[in-house]
Amino acid sequence: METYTANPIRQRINKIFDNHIASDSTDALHSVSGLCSSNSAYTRRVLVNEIEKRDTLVNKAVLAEYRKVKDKFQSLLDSLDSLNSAVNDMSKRLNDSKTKTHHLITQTTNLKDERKKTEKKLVWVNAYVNSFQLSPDKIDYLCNVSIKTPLTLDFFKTLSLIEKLYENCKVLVRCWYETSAFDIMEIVGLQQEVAIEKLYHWTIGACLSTDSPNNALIPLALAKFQNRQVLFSNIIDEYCSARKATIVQLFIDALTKETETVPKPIEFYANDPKRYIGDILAWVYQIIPIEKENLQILYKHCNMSDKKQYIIEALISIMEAICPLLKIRAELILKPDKDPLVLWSITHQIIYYKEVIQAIIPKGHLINTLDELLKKSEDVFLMTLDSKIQKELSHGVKAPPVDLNPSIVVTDLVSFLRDLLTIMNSSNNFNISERKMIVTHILDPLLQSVNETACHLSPTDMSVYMLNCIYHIQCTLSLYTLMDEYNERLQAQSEAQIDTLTSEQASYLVANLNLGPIYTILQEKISGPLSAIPGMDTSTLKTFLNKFDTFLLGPDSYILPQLNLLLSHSHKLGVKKRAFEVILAIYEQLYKAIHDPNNGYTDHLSIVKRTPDEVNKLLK
Amino acid sequence: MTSGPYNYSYIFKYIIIGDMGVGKSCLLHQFTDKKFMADCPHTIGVEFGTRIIEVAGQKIKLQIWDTAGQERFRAVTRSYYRGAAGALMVYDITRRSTYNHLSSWLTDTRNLTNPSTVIFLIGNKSDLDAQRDVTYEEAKQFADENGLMFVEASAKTGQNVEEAFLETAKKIYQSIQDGRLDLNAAESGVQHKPASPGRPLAAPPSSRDNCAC
Repeated sequence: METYTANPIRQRINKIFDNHIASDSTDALHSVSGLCSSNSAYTRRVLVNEIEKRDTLVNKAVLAEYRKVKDKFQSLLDSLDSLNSAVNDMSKRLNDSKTKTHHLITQTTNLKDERKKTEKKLVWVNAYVNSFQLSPDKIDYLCNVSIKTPLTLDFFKTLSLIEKLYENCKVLVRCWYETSAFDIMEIVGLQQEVAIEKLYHWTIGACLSTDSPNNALIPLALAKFQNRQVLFSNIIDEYCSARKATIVQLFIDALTKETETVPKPIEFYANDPKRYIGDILAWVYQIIPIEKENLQILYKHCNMSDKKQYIIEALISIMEAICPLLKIRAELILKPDKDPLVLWSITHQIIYYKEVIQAIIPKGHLINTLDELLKKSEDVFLMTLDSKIQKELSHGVKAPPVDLNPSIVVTDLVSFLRDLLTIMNSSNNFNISERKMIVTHILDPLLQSVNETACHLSPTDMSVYMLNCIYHIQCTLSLYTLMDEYNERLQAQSEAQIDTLTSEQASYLVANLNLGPIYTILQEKISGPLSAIPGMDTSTLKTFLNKFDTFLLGPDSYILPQLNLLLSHSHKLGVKKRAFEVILAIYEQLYKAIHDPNNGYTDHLSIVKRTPDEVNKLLK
Repeated sequence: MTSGPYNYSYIFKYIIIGDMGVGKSCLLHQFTDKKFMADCPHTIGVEFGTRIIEVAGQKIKLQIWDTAGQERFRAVTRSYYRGAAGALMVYDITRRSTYNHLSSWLTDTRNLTNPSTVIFLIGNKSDLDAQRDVTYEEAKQFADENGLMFVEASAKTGQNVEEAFLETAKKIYQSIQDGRLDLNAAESGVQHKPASPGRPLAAPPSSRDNCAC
């Protein structure tokens, strides 16, 4: 096979035949051979000529086509040329504009930088404006506060802002920007004045409202006037006068207004003076802490050092309003037609309320009014007391009862005294002047009248009656420790009466036992034996001592009958004991005398059977 | 700072009554200061305390009058019942005598207050359960029979103290809502305060003060 393929000639022939163009050529050659029927030189020439002609035609045609192409190319070339020139032109222009643009860019950059700077400046200016100026709407608000645009918390925020601006300006002054700072301060100052004036009028108006204590904005407003003394005190004055009107109205309502829930106003109890005055004073007292609390709220935001003092002064001023109403009503009650006990307990109510009120408001019109009422009520009380005492003592004291007990007048007055003391004790106020009053207006006249009554009686009756009366008074006074001093005085008086009674009783015993002559002889200290003296002889003594024995067996039958009328058992015992002691002393003397050998008594044991000790035991 | 310009909408007046030493002042102190006063002195006459509370979203200011329990102050303290919207009647659960006196206190309260006054019975010293002398059931029955509200509380631990004061206020507030309590009555113990800010300022009360007697 290799040989077959390797033959170059064969390869070439194959190549030709394989080539389809050759086959076409073959076909072409076939068709050409068809055209030529004879292969002569002419034919060949014609053919050659023909072919040459055709060739020329073809070439001409090619040439024509190429000319077209050439024209196209020419026009293309022209276009390119113009393009070139245009491009060149453009490039030139671009170069131009490039130089121009460069300038613009620098300009833009500059502008940008400037803008940045301006922005920064704007920030600074805004900050400056914020620090040193109010926004127009705020100014507008500050200047237009009225009923239509009510004052709110914003107002105070703005006002604080103004104050801050002012502070800022001060900083500015310190930083050497004096001119602008002073300008700004002037503007801000004017705005502040306007605002403060608006606020002042608003506050005055707000204070007039009855519920001003409940308005939380008023304390805030008040704090803004702390540095303006006149405006501040004007506001406080307005507030006080508004509160005065309010509490007076409330007071009148409480006194007189009849409602469904409270069918009986205070005035309803005017016929019960104690309750009436008590209710009125309690009402007044109850309003004080409420008003004080209101004032504390009012001053809440103020920080002055003597705030408490201001509050008290305002409170004093507010409470003044009540005084005329209080006084007129109390004075209507404090008339001498009342029972002294009622007046006395009213007096003590006034004392109590004066004290508790004074603990809150130490002075002022209210305290003065209470003082006046106290004086008045004491005066009226003393007046009624004196007339009562005088009336009671003027009749019925002259003749004491047969039983020598304190008369009804005395017991009545003592029970009256007990009532008075009970009132004093319950109100926990018991002072020296009251004690003095009781002594001078009640006890002294009472005792004097008792004395007057007693002086018409026999000494014994007098002592018994006096002792009974004093004992009755003492029993009452001893319940009240504060009357101890007077009690001692009474004690001393009763001691004196007991002494009198003792000596009466002793003399009575001496008289009844016939001790008198014996006692006289014993006292006389006669020289020589006593047995020789008449009345001291043995038989007389025996008779006496027999009688004395009956006394010893029943000593009570030798007691003064009046002693049994003594109210106090201890008084009776004391008198008895001391009288018996006297008798015992005499007996002792007699006993010694009989036993004395100098006196010449024989058989003294048959005369005196009992030793003084035995007698003492029997008398106990 | 309160939200509106007004601090509160109502004022209620309370009184605290009961025998000496039952802890009236301590209850008040516990309620107003949230502290227990161990050695509270005897009250002389009356004492006063306030606190603002909230009931149904309304701020209410309580004005509380704490009366002396000692018998000798009765004449003085009787004047304080006038116009009370709430009465807190206190006894000591460890001392039967203070419970036995309740009916006399109740009589006083009924006579001296108005029918709409809310009476709240408090059995104080509930922390001293070991020394109890009055049972809860007995006191509860007493309260029910007399139409009183009742709790046992302790001023020392603070237990139920807040509740007693608040429940009383709620009851009073309910009475207002129901129209049983007249707000315009000066002596009802309740005063209404306007809640709407910025209303036109009221004209000042006419100054007929010094001559209207």
